[in-house]
Amino acid sequence: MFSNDDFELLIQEIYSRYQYDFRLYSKSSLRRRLEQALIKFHCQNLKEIRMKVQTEKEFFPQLIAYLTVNTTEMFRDPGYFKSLRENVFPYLKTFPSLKIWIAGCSTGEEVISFSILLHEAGIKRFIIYATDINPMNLERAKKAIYDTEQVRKASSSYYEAGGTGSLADYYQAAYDSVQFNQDLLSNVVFSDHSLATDAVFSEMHLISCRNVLIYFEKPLQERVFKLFDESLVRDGFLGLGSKETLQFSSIKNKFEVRDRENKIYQKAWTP
Amino acid sequence: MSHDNLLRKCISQKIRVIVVGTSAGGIDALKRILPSFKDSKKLSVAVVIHLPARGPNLIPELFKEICSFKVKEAESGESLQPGYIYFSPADYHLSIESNETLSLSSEEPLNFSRPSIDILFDSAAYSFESKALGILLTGANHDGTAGLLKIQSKGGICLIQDPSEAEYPTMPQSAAKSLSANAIMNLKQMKSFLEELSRSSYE
Repeated sequence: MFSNDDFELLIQEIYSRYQYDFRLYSKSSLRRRLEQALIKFHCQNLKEIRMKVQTEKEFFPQLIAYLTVNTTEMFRDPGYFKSLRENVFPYLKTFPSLKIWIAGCSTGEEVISFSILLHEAGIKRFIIYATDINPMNLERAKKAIYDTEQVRKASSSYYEAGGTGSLADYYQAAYDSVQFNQDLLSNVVFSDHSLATDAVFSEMHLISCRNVLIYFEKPLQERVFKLFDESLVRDGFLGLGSKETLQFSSIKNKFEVRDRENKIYQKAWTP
Repeated sequence: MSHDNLLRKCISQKIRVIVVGTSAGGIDALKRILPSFKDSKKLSVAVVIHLPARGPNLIPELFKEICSFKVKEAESGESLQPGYIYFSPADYHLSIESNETLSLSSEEPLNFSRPSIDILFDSAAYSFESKALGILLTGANHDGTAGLLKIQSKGGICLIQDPSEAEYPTMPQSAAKSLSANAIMNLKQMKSFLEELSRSSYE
């Protein structure tokens, strides 16, 4: 039911028709998710999926939800946020205004986390650019409505991340979901951006991109690292996921490690 | 299948990668079998053991002392090398890619587990087909059964720990019911089998 040729043809079709480039994504994770898509869309094989991509205009937006990994949580790896708060924010505070890029923001949990921590650090003049390749994720992120159970779990991570208030101060609860205050998103610009195909994003002071690069093969990782390097101001910061590293990249020498455990790097000043 | 026949089968299929899955009771069981791998120019081993999600992963350190193979936590994108035992990090799935690299993923837990044994086994089945050997040990859930079935369907070889000696029999029992494994062995038999396999020479 799953042939490698059909897999390559589908990925190629998606690229030429929609310019979504999955050619350098790790194959086994994509394959697993396509197997789930076969079940969900009642298809026998990938050829049928490809036919649908070619002939049904409404199909691709549904398929893309399967092709990207959207798992995320608020204050995931609290140590990362704690380190940002303690080691990075005091420095960022000295800038008159800040630009932060959350690359691969998925359904927005990390955006809310950042917005809360910036607020508590007394940083008011900032813009967060939150990007993802899946427009449906961005729509959900804009609503800032999350499952109560998920937010309840995030509450302890919020304290571990050094939260100074109560997470409940930031949302309204209703039935089994909660809505975060829209104020938290007033400095956030959501936009559709692909790390695989799109260009530099602008002069950023901090880029946070976590658990995105693990799905990319080496050449694509390298592209993204260059993109980040070019998008950061001198002395700008880069935060990666707990299992991602600059260590094997070509931009390694341009950055200094600020927190090894929490994967926080700073672009070094080079005369 | 008898011990000798199975060994011949592994050699004729040129087993390259051994994937091991375990859960509750797994550390003691792994301590019995992982030291069996001696200097080998052909075999790589990847292990998923269910761990609590938080805190540092101390497992690789624990095994470095007692294994002849080099032991490390798998890193995203690194090449699969012979003579190594790779452990999945806590809270990430581990896969073996067809380009012979390792990859990590934070996809949803499967069978309430991240790392998931099924995901590792499934990836090894696709990437190495008949050159993959799956070993399922003690555990208190059903992770691993679907993965072993995938290894079997791709022509690979499946070993299951004898549930009657497993500290937690649910996991090996679930697999033993769902597929006819190439062999069901106790840890002592498994140890000597793996020693012989890693000693035998094939290209």
